[in-house]
Amino acid sequence: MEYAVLVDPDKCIGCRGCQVSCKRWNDRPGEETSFSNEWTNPLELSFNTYTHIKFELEHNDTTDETKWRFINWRCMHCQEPACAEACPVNAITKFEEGPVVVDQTRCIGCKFCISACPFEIPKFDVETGKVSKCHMCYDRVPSKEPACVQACPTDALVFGPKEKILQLAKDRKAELGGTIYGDVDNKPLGGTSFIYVLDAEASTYGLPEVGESLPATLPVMRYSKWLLIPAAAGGLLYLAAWRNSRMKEKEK
Amino acid sequence: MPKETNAPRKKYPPKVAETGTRTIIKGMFQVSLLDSAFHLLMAILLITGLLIDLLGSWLGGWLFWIRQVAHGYLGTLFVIIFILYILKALVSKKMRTVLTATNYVDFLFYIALIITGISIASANAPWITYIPELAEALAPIAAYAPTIHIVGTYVWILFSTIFPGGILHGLATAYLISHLKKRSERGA
Repeated sequence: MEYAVLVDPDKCIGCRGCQVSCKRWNDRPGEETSFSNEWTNPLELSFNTYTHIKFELEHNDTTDETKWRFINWRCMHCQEPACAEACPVNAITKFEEGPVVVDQTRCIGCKFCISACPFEIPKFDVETGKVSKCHMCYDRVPSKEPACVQACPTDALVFGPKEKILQLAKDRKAELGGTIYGDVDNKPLGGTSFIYVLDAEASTYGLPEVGESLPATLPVMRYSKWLLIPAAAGGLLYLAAWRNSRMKEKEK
Repeated sequence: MPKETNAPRKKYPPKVAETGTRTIIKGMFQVSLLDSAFHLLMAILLITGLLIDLLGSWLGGWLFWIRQVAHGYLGTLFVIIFILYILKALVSKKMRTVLTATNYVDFLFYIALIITGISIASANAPWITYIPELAEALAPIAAYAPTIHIVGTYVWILFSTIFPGGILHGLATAYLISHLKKRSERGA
């Protein structure tokens, strides 16, 4: 059975409990941070930071009101992951329960997944030479919800069977009058296991516009190795022609 | 069975019969370090790249060091060597006389592979933050770089065997070097 997580930014209070619990469950070290104009901290996902809360301060010029928008951000766990398609060593697997997981023992650090991911999620580490990202706590799912979901005090993150989550999303969308990002209204890469219900357009939250199917460049890359067949045939023909001309030369 | 002919056998330079493959390779480096390094590195990069792409599904993590050292660090060295090689071609008339049209097309392929290679390597790399101009220049191709890199290699192989270019030239050279001693012993 497929599982999913509903992300409801309208309920998020930006406590960063999900960030902390993710670090603790995955035993990841903290990042050295610095002050910046943004409140997002750490500013970017990294090899050791699988999830973070993005802080967006929105100002309405007509009413002169400001509003905080908090959004939990990490791997979307796509139905057709571009990262897995790009990986030459099959180190990335999409599980039927939903998680997309990087097998660190197979990863060779080629970074193809980083280029392929339209959400810019996988991160490379210079020290280990490997790539990592959120794995949707595949070692807990489905008997337990992911660590970030368990830590959320306001139910801004809800875990459950995908059908149930989709129904929840539709109900919540009706309440908010917004959109569903990840499924229903917008299905990046065939739909995702993290589904956002938003009270505004996805672009307001900085969510990228991603096509429903894999970019055509990825299958082209995967099947281009078949060009070796005409290349080998061409090489053999050239060899045969060369040998023929040599024989004729010798006969002369 | 090949016919016996009276055609004169090829004469190889004196002492070639006594030299082994190792001596010939050593001699190549003595004659032109740049030329030999360029060709050797290109062969290593091509073989390791093919190894990763064709056998990656089976070998998986075993290819880590091959990717890291033989394709990554040596790839960086190749970029430097290639720049020097192009500079040498620009200044040396003697070198330009031996370059064919196919060689120049080969160079275009290498340039495409080098640019996409740098683009792939720069993702999440700390060094790219020190060169923001390069990061900005590479940004438009970041998503397509792996595809251009892989497809470009196979198209180059195809082009190279049909016309013929670098691949057949490389195979012929490897064949000649490995058979030189045997042939010279027969023909000397």
